Amino acid sequence: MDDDDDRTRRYRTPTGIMQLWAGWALGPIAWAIHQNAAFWIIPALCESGSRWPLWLITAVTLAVAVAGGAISHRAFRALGSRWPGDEAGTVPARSRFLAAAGVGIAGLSSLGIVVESVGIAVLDLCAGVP
Amino acid sequence: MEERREAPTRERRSEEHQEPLHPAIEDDAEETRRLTETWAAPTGFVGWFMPVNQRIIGRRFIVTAFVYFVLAGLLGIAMRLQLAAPENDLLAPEIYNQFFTVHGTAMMFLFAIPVLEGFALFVVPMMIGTRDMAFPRLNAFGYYVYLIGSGVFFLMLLVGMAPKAGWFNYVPLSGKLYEPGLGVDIWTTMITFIEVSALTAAVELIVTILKLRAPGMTLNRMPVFVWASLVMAFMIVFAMPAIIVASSLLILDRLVGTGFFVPEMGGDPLLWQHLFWFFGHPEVYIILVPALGMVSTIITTFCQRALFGYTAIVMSIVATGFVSFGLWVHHMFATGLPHLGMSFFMAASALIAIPNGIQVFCWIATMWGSRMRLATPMLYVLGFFWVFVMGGLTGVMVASIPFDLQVHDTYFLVAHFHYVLIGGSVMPVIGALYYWYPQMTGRMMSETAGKISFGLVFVGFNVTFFPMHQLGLEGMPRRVYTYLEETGWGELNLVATIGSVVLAAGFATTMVNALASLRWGETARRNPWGAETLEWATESPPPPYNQRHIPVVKSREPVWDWREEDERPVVVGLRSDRREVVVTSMLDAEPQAVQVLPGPTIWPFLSALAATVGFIGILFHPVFFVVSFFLAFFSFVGWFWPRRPWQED
Repeated sequence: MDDDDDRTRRYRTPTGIMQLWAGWALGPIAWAIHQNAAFWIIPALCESGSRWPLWLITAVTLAVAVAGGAISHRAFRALGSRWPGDEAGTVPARSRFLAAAGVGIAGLSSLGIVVESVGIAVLDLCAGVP
Repeated sequence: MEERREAPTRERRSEEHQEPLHPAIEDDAEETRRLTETWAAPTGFVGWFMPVNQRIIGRRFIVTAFVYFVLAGLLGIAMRLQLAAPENDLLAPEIYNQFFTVHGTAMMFLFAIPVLEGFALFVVPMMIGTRDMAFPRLNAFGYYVYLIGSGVFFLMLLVGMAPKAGWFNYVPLSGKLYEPGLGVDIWTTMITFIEVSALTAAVELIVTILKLRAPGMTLNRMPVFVWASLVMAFMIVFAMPAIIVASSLLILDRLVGTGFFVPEMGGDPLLWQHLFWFFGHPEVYIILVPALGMVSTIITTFCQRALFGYTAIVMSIVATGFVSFGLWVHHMFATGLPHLGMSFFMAASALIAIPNGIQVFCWIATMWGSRMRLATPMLYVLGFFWVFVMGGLTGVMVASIPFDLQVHDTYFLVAHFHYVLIGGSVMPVIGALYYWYPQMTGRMMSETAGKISFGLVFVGFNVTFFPMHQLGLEGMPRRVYTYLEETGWGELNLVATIGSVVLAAGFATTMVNALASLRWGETARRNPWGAETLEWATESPPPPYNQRHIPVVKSREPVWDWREEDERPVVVGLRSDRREVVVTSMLDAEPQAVQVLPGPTIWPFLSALAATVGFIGILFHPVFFVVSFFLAFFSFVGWFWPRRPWQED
């Protein structure tokens, strides 16, 4: 019960709430930046022949997405690592739900960045560039 | 893992039994009468233009959208009849082009989005236990904008001035050079106009869902349909501006002579495709996501079991919303973009199968071992599974660039997107119509007719669209009004046409069923399906105020809780002599305040008329923009005229 009181207090504060939303926000934002930045930079890179900016974008955005998931996961652990239900004690229950979903969303975003970056390793940088 | 909750099986004491309130709460008849008076909608001819109640506006959206569904469906049948035989001359090329443009535009903009918004507007406030939307007058304004915009657009077909450049309106085909006349001008202005309506509904839904939930309905207790409506609303807010910008640039190119899409003037035709598909692809998911919520709702009710993997389903719906914004370039694989850049979108297009797959597995897990009732809504959901999964599989195929280049602009694509759109959206919508019809009318639709309708739709749909995969693989291009006999495509096209007639008969059965049930349908008892969500915690149809008392929620299945505990916890203290709702906190739905909602008025209708003057008039002379501005200003003054302090309504 004391644990739940602590959790209730913690996840009512702006900092606690931001931790819960970290996976929801950072993952998709990082993935969107990766996709768009990498897409639009290709013609310029074709001229220089260098791929490292693409890898840099990938590394940075992947780090951000993983960090979002990690923050959510940390909150999930702090909330007892239980699978979220709709049990009584509204703040810890909804916090568990938000944290778990945040881990999933950030995980999917990270996977998206990784899968998209496969092409950077294997495809010709200039193919199809007008 | 989550506990799998089954619906309580305790027998109802009577058909109209409702669980009692706490003994300290009195259900005063005089209070109820005053509440009815306060929330009543005006009647009569002028009264038709005044109501702001969410159920009336939602129902109007749904009915109007189905009218366009029928009209656009008839255009589809006409196109199929034209293609039934090679070198057929039933429709002239000009007419055929107008038909396929209006068919696509009407199905997407006039039917799909409005019908799903209509269901959301109708159901969501009841489902979250409130009495209306957060901005009831804006709600009414959105409907009149939609009604006027869609009516003007469709009338263009009747006077032979409809656009012919396809629902995607690619430039330069839609430029003045190839598409003179008013057709594309009307398309651009009316689509922008109708999207204003979509945006108003989206804003309403977001605020209503986040701020007017019944006390206790924390984010993790929100019904999945409410989550899906929330995601849809956010997607509309982010996607629609792209089409509004694209349409505005196109109309400037056509009317003012700018060159946004004209290469000779420094413009770029691909800019149109980027803008259009940045809206157009999320659009597919805008109409899919709420349908996923409908499917979840229907499965829970007809399996009488809590949804398996609620968190995973919500996460998948949210993820689908996000990822849908990163797929637009897969519509442009044949336009000559850098291969590496396209590969990012190929990866994202394949990735979206993951959240959708999670949902399908959660639904299967919910159904597994349950005592499923195969009523019509559930049949449509089962049909959805087959058709949507088929469409998803071909979706993953066309996400692959080499395969996409092979089938680009062929009938394979026509087959694919009809499987996704009809399977993913129309089937759940028809199921939802059967499901929520008692709350709309107080009557049940005929189950026999419903099952016949489902059989015809399922068979007709597959007979129509499955052969199109083969036609596409054989190279039949889409958007052609005829083909030569030597191609050998005649037989499969004939099969598809026969299927389309069967499909139309299936939909017609549902439409006739809906109309006939208004008069002859069995009277619905309270909560006829034994559902768990709050829209059923009241009479069928509900009174104007939705629920006599705002409920207090303790789980995801509040109505089942009440059945188990034989008691209804409710909020007391709201006044019955003015339109009051409880405002709650965003995350935890803790009561914060009481909001007084405005009553019926004609100003939203007049504001919509004022806006129409500008949107249509600007095609003829710029002065109409100024006229419309002042008309709108005066109508908004009337709309927002402050209440006098001594008048508390």
